[in-house]
Amino acid sequence: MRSIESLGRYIIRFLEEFGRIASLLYSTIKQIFTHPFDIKGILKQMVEVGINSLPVVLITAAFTGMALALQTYTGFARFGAEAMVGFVVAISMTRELGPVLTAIMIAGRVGAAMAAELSTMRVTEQIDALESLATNPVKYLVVPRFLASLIMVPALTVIAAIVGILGGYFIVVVVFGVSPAVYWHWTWVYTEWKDIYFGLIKAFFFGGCVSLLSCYKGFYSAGGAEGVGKATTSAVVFSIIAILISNYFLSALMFA
Amino acid sequence: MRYISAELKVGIFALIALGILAFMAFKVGELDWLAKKGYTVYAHFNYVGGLTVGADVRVAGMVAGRVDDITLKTDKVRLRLFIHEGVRIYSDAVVSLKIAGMLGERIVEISPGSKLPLLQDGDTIVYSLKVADIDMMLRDISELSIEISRLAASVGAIIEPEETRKAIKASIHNLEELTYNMNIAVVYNDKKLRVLLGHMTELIEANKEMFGAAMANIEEFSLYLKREGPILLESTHKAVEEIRAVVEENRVALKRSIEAVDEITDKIGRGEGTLGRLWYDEAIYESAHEAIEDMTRIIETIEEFEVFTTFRGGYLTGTSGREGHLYLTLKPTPKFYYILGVVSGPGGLDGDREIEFSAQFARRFKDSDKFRDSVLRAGITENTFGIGADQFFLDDRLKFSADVWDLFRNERGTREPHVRLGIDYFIFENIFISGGVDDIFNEERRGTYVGGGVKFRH
Repeated sequence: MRSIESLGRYIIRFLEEFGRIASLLYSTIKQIFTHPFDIKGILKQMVEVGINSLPVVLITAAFTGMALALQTYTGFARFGAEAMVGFVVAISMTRELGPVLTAIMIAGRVGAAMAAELSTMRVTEQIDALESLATNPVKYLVVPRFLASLIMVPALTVIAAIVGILGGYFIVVVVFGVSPAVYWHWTWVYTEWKDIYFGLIKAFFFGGCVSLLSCYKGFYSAGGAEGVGKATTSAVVFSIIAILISNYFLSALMFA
Repeated sequence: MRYISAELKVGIFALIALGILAFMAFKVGELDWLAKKGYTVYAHFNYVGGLTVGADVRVAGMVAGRVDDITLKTDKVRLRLFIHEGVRIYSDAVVSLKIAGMLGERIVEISPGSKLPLLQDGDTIVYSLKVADIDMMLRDISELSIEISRLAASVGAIIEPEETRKAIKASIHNLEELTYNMNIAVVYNDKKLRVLLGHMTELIEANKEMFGAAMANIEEFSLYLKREGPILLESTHKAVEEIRAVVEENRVALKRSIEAVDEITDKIGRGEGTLGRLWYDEAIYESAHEAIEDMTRIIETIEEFEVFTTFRGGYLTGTSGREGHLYLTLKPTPKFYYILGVVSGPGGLDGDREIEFSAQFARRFKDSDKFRDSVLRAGITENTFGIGADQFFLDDRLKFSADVWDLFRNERGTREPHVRLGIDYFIFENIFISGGVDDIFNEERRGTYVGGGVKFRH
């Protein structure tokens, strides 16, 4: 009886949480189209999400591309298809690793910051203060972060993809000595436009996902300094799980 | 350090990201139209076997464009090909599908041709090579093998009964007997034949120079024909049409003149008149062999000139008689040739033997639209005006023939023209067997004939 009770409690809590996320998303989208448009706040967040994350994303992408090329090369060299490595690296980076790795890095770097910031404001009652000053906290705090992520995560993904491809190029051409022209030719010959823009659609979705979940965790946190820590951790974990699960379904939807 | 505003940072970042995106889009071919000018041509195929939009179009192995669009029209696939500026494709270009790369990727190959005018934007490449598709080939082969096994089964069923086997055995025995008889016939006719060859030799000896010149003329003529053939054919066609009209108008007169020609040839055959006497002059057969060799040598100097000697014998059930033929086939070109022949066979109903002559002009139709391996012949058949047609199968191993002669019943005891339908089949390269129906329209003489022969090429 008790276990059934606790199961019911979990389900209710999950639905409550899901409902709160949905209502936050709804009010965020509503606030985007409500006057005034806080361009300054958005730019500030874009710098934070995009430009300040650039080093992390570049390093991750470059080394992933290199490792990918290294592994594929070993395999492909066994049947003499070294030149085809470029193609494998290119579609892996554009379709899968570019968007997913960028989103995960953003979740770790920016998502955590968002949750910490907002939950601190919550526990120090700054959000309540905003409300009492007739300022909508969602518009002031969530909308800039959400919009900045929607725009910047795809942008970072594009950069990550090309850096990963260049990393692969470095390994195969410079280290293993495959002809540069041949490798470069095969990198692009089978890669299609849809590989690139489906990757970007994924990145766009992940950007929204990370910022929404992180803001949600910060916005609804409680319990002092401990609450801040909890919110931060669960924001990152939540975001990454959401990215990986939705990645599968988005891939199945778009590429299948 | 100067302060860099958030706007500037984001602006630079956005420019970089968009620049990379544009670069990648360009690399995968999405923005080709931005960079390269060119024109569009169309091509049609029955089957494109896995060709995709965006596949390369190559000219002489170089990438010269891409497949823009593939649409299925009523019974053909239409490809829209984008060709880069500066790539020249002529009106007689040939387009084909090729396989490139280790993944079996299909590409379009254009052999640009050389005949002006150049193709313009929106034109269609007329010549497209059919795709040899392995699936289709296998299907054809399997269909063929089913046909073959069906054939074998039916042949087996025919041979199965004991009576049939006996009959076949009997026929083989008959054939044996026939060849023996044939041999006798040859010996019997040997002298006559020698006489004939002697006449020919004398004629050739006497006119050797003239003959050489004539052969040179023929060579020149055949070269001219090769060059002017298509135009000539067209005008011939026109001429035939006109002749047909004339013939319609002058039917009676024509009939009379053909009868006159017939009479003349008949006289020659009987040894009357100057020419006839020449043919039968006994004195000139000594150097027959030599002269034939001479003639062959002259002939061989001319390229393409082929000479065949055919010797055939047969047994006619209608007149219960044996028949022997000797033909000389002179082939200046594979399309036109001349057949000269002597026939020894049963004459009238009284059983007399007769030597008769044939001289025919033949025109072979090969790989034209309406005729495949067909021959039309016209000239003198066994001393009278005659026409005939052959149809070849199996690389000339099998031949169906139809001959009509003696249109005006000069043969003794006949009331209708002489019509013969026959089949020749080469069991070896030089040896053939033949059979058919002879003199279909003359009841008294109607019958089948069986026989065989040899054919040599010189």
